[in-house]
Amino acid sequence: MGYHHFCVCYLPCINHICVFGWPKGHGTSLNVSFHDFRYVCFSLPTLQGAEIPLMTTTNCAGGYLLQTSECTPPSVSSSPWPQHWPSPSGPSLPRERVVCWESGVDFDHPAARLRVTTMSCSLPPEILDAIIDQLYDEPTSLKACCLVSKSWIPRTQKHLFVHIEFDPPKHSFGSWMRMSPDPSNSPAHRAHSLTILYLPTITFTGTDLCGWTSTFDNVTHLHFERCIWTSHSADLTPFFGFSPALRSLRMTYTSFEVFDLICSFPLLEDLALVDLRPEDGTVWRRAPSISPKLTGSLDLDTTRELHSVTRRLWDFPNGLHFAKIAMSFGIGQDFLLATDLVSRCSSTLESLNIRSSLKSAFF
Amino acid sequence: MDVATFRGRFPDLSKAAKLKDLMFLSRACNIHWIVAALKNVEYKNLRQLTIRLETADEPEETDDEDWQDLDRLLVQFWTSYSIRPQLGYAPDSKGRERVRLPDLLPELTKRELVDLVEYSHPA
Repeated sequence: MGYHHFCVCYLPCINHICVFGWPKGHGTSLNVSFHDFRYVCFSLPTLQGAEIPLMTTTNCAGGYLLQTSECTPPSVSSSPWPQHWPSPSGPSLPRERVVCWESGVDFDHPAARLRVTTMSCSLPPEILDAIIDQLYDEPTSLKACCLVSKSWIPRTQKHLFVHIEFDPPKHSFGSWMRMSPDPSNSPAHRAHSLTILYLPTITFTGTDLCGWTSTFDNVTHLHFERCIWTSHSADLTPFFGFSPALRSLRMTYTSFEVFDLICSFPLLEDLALVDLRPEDGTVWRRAPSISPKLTGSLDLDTTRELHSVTRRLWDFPNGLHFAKIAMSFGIGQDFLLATDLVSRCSSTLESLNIRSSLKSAFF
Repeated sequence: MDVATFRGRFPDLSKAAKLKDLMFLSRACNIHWIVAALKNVEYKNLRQLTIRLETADEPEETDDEDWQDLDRLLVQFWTSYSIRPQLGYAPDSKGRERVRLPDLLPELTKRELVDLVEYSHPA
């Protein structure tokens, strides 16, 4: 395993240093004094056997800790292992005192600068949170921060899992379940935005999805891309009302069951429906007695099915109160529905975007 | 549904008092319904008006009277309500305007009261 960078982290508050990403062939080139540190932690996967004895860090008060969590150390038995080094299976530091860091981090990155900052005292948690917040769009740095200390985990997870996307096979449902088998402390609780591409790949796994979806109880934005795939229509039932906080829903290539789903989110404001499958005679699972707020935006790009969509929307007992409407239609009949929709929302309408793809004049 | 059914039907924007942003995207041949909608728009809060015209490769039949109405309406929008419209058009494969806006909207273009924006024609 070759790394192009190494990084050194010293955090006075936990009084130890971590060396990760030790560059191959540079065993003696690390010019760092370990005098003041209680522990030194080396990342085992980066230590190639021959380099281990080259490191001279005899002044470390507490000895060394070998980080063995990343892999088993086959090089240990074959290397001239220093006798005074604790064995990989030996005593370990409390987890919160072990600093782990990913390799390959750019030193110019704010996170790298944070690491080499010589702090003279422990930072108040609010300040630490504010620093982590600056990395909200830097997933690599956030992952690194998440491994620093237990106390760093909640804040980094807040940003790391704010948007979760399942895009099989790259980001599959199975790998998520393996990573987070316990629903009670699942990072899904931190998600505000959930995107699932090819929904049937999840709904057909045979897993109890109701328990799984309930972990996403703070999701405010939901996006299902291709709810019908290879002629299989996903069962949306596990998602009914799964997040009471849901404000925004976007569905592409779905069935008309989506309207039952819509009615299960009382706070829903924004709705986008793209490419609905032609209506197959399905009726309301349960006629809605109360409908969502629907005070935000409506985006309809359904071309052939506008008449069916609007008929369902008219059924909402609380009416429609959209502030923004964007819609497209391609046949003359849909034009009448578009005008009707605009009329129904005229008292709240702030933005209107009408796209007509009519091929010829109909006036 | 025959053509007569559509005649006289257009989005009724007279009650949309909060309307700030209005955008139409249509074939040039259907400019009539845009004009009809604009004639009764509630302008009190209107800030942005955008019209994008899609056109076919072959010349489309349009009614000159509709274009004259549109020209007059858009000039009025500027003089009365300070609303500067934005007109989008998709050039043809040689980069020329398919719709000759200076010809169709002479007053608006002569007084430079419109922002002409070129955009990619959807596939």
